[in-house]
Amino acid sequence: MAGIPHDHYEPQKPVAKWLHSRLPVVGLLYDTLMIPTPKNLNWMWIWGIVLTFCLALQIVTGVILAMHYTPHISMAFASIEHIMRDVNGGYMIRYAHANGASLFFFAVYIHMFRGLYYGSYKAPREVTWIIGMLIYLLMMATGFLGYVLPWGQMSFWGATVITGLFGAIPFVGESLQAWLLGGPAVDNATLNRFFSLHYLLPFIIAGLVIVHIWAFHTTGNNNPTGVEVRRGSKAEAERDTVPFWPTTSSRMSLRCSSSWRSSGRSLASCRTTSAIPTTTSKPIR
Amino acid sequence: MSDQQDHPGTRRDFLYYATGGATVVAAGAVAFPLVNQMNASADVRALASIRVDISTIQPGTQMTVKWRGKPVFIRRRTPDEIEAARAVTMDELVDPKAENDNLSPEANAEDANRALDEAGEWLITMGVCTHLGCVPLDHAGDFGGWFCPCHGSHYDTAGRIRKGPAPRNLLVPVVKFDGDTTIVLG
Repeated sequence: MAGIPHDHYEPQKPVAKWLHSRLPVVGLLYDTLMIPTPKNLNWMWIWGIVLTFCLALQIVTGVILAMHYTPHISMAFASIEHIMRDVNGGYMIRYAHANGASLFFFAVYIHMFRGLYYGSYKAPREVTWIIGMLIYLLMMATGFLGYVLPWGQMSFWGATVITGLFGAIPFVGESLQAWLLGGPAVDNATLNRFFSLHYLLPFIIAGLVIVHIWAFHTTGNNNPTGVEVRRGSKAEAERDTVPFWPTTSSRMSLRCSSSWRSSGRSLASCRTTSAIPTTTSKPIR
Repeated sequence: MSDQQDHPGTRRDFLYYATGGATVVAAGAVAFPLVNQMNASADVRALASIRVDISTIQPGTQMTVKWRGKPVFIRRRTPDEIEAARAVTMDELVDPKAENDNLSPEANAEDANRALDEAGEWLITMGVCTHLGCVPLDHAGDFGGWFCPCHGSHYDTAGRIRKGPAPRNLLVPVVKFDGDTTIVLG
């Protein structure tokens, strides 16, 4: 396996060995979570975790909202009112979903800025970057589709305008727009398919996120210096990296703790010689 | 940090426990609304108790209303039906219990414990056969009460099971008068 050399999962108990020889799922989780990360990562490296959290939040709250929402033009807005007034804690779940979408985009822009500023898109991480752009496109599509679902004035005219962009394509535009809408104008067919796709796309995003993580776990993280961590041997790599999942799960329970863990770990790693010409490996307290 | 092994490390232990405890509290605070949202919503709970105008019901007829998702029979009995129900002795009954949510579970199934008013004119029962939950037909069956078309249960004019597979009398829901022409279910 490519990437930075590190210890792999070794099952100890008989049950673990039994499972590992049949389905190495624990090993997959272990190797993913214990992946060596550069010890000098700064706070700009938390946004990936923030985004993962956002996706999980949106899927969980979205599945819940779908339990109470009705994708029909005569009932959609009433079902939103029902969520806001009648469903237990429904207003909170809807607000979490709506504001979670805003946090999602806020975080993704900083995440992309991080990639541009530190050159994370450059070789050998082009595939990670390209997958990220695909995710961003799907995020915009999903956000737009969700915006239409409450079936208010903004939803309706938003759908009209945005699908109108497709109508401007030469020759095929009008047919394409009618195909998207399921008719000559935004109507029930549009709302129904938008709901279906709004439910579908986040799971495609989730799949792409897995590939995104797989890609940069293969190349190893970029780091603020732009100088690659050494990976000639495990001993060498261990001087420049710390495991993603450090000591206990309670540390990770602060979910934006990507930087926190590396700061905690860089304290613990002070005994080893810092090999990277560091400018940022000072502990953050 | 390098002297971590030399000390009991009580401060770090405390931080671990505090972090773990905070995590548990936060997880509970997140989990509660996610579970609670599936409980009956306010609009459903608001219909747990309904008022029904019974002024239009003529003697010898029945009105069926939907209450908590199930049919409720509101029957205005004729003097003959009342008399027939009151003539029945306890040993003729399959289910000797009143099955009346307004009374104690021990109350017996005499007609006075089934009807809503003292005269016995009003009989209010759930329209759900106690066998497998079909809706019985009114003014039908061997006893002139209800007949369940699914498996042939016969109920008398007090809604008591008399013949067929059903094990219990038709349930009398929580109900009371509010004035002469309105009843409150639930």
